[in-house]
Amino acid sequence: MSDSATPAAPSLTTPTVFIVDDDEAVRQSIHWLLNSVQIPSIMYSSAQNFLDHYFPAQVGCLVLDVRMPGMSGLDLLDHLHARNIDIPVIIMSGHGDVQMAVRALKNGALDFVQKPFNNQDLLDKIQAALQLDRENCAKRQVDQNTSERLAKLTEREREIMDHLKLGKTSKQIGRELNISPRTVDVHRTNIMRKLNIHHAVELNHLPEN
Amino acid sequence: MVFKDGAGRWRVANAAALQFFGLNGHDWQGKTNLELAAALPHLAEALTICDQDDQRTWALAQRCNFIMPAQDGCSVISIAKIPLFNPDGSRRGLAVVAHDFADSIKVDSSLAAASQMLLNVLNSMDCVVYVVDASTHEIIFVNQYAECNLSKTIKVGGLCWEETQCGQGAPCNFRDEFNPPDVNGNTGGGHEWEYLNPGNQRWYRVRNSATRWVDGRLARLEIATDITDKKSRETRRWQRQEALCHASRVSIAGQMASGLAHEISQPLAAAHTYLQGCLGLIGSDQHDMAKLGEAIKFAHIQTERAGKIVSHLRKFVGNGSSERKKTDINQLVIDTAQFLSHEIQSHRVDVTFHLSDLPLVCVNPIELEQVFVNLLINAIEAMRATPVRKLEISTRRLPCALEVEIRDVGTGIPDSEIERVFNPFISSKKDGLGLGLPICRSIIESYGGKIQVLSPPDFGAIFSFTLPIEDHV
Repeated sequence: MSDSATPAAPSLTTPTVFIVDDDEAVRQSIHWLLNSVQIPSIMYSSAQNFLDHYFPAQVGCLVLDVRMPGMSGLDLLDHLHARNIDIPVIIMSGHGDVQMAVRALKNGALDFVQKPFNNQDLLDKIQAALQLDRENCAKRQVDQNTSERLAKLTEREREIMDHLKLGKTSKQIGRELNISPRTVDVHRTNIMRKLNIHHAVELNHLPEN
Repeated sequence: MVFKDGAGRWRVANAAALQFFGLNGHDWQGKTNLELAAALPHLAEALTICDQDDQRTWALAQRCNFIMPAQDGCSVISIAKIPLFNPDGSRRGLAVVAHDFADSIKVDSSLAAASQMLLNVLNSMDCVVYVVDASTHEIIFVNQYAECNLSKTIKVGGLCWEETQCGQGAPCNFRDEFNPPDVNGNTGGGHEWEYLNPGNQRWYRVRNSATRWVDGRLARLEIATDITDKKSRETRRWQRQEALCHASRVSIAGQMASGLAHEISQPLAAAHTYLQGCLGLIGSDQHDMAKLGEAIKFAHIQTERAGKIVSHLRKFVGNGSSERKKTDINQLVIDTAQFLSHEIQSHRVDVTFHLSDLPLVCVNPIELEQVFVNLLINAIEAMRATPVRKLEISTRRLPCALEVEIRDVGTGIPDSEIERVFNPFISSKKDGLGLGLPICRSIIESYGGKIQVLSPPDFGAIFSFTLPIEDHV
């Protein structure tokens, strides 16, 4: 089993579970469990340890003990929130820690299990979390592409795009900008090519910049 | 007083002697008894007898006592004649000492009176007294108290150990420390011990010392005082102390309860995961024996871990044995820190150890652990509000003792209170009973050690205690 002191370099695209718990036996048992169902996982003995090694671009989810000395699970959630890291988090709470678990959920955790937890229950929640992260990643990718493409438009093209979004015809836009409708058409073709869309109506589906 | 030489000639005579023999004014120097008898016919009879006595003394070659009427017919004289010999065995001289027989009677009777007084005193004492001949070990005196209060009477004339001990075949071995009295009759000190008499089940404090008995022989004086009541008071006091210590341990365990519960639930949660996983593997036709074996092994380790915490707690809280056994103090310190690991971690205290080589000491490990737990918990509490929390635990070897020191960087103890820190019912905690430190003190002092605290300004507190070590360890 890998040692949390020197975790293996994570693969950015393989969905990986990050286990953060101060008790070594608990970490190891979850690692063993995930291993038995062929899900890769990496163990960390503290929240700080995790933050020091995590790359936001990694696909995966976080299984986090809420009651730890040093930086607590709740503190870690705050940190992640502050850095805009949206990795899905499953909280583990001890018996009688329901209050903490509720606070964690309100602070952005996706779900929670109570120790001692049902293995299948944890696995189901992990699968859901990994799926969510995959979708988030894909969406981020799309957003990334769009931003890059919008950046390629000239200032004039951007101006015309704004008008097109309002549903105006080339004639209307030409009159307002004091250019010929033919020029507007040329701009429109360029815009749509640069943004890789086929109908002007798609302009409205682009995310706001 | 007269001195005659080896040939019987008078050499020295004092005034009293001359008076007594009626030799005043006569020429006596250098004359033998018989020569004097011839020269002084009125004294011939007395001198002849005197000469016979002298010869008898020479013949017996030892001091002889004679009694005769004085010349003046008013008194009876007791005469001691002592023959003196040269190294070659020849006669050197005869020393003659005489005194009024009435005087010696007086001395004897005053000696007798003194002896009787001594016996009266010994008989009036409220403790067992008996006297034993130092060389023959025969009992030569038993006082009244002994005769009335011992179920098995000590017989005069019997052998000391046969009369007073059960199943002992020889004199007690402390007789080697027997110090006979010096020339002035002063004894060299006695030997004391405590003894449970199997006959009447009572405890005695016994003192044995050397003395000259009334008849002049060297004897052993044994005085045994009944301390049964004192002992049972001591026992009751010790029992109350034990009960108090136990109550304190139970209270500490109560404070540690939620921490201990957490410590136990972690390994159980891990074991639960492993075992459930095993069931899953078995159920899913994936018969990877290696994986199964691995998981069961890990689960087992975790249940043992939980079990250890429970049994440690049980021992700590139990009313159990108060046996002392050879203990490694360093290991005890480490184990206690482990027992409190949840407290230490949850308060984010940084603990460092500086342990020196220590010999084993004969202590009750539970009592010592109680002291450590108290001191460590106090240190952790003291640092609650300080930003940096450090605890240093050190042990070191001193000439006849070992020392344990616990330093914290907490709020410290003000000078006005440091004197009273070990007094009962003084507590800085709002719901504290204030009994922890007094109990620590009584435990450490029961081993002959000392506990103290220093609190330098702006530093925190340093609690330390010592435990004596026997030299030959």
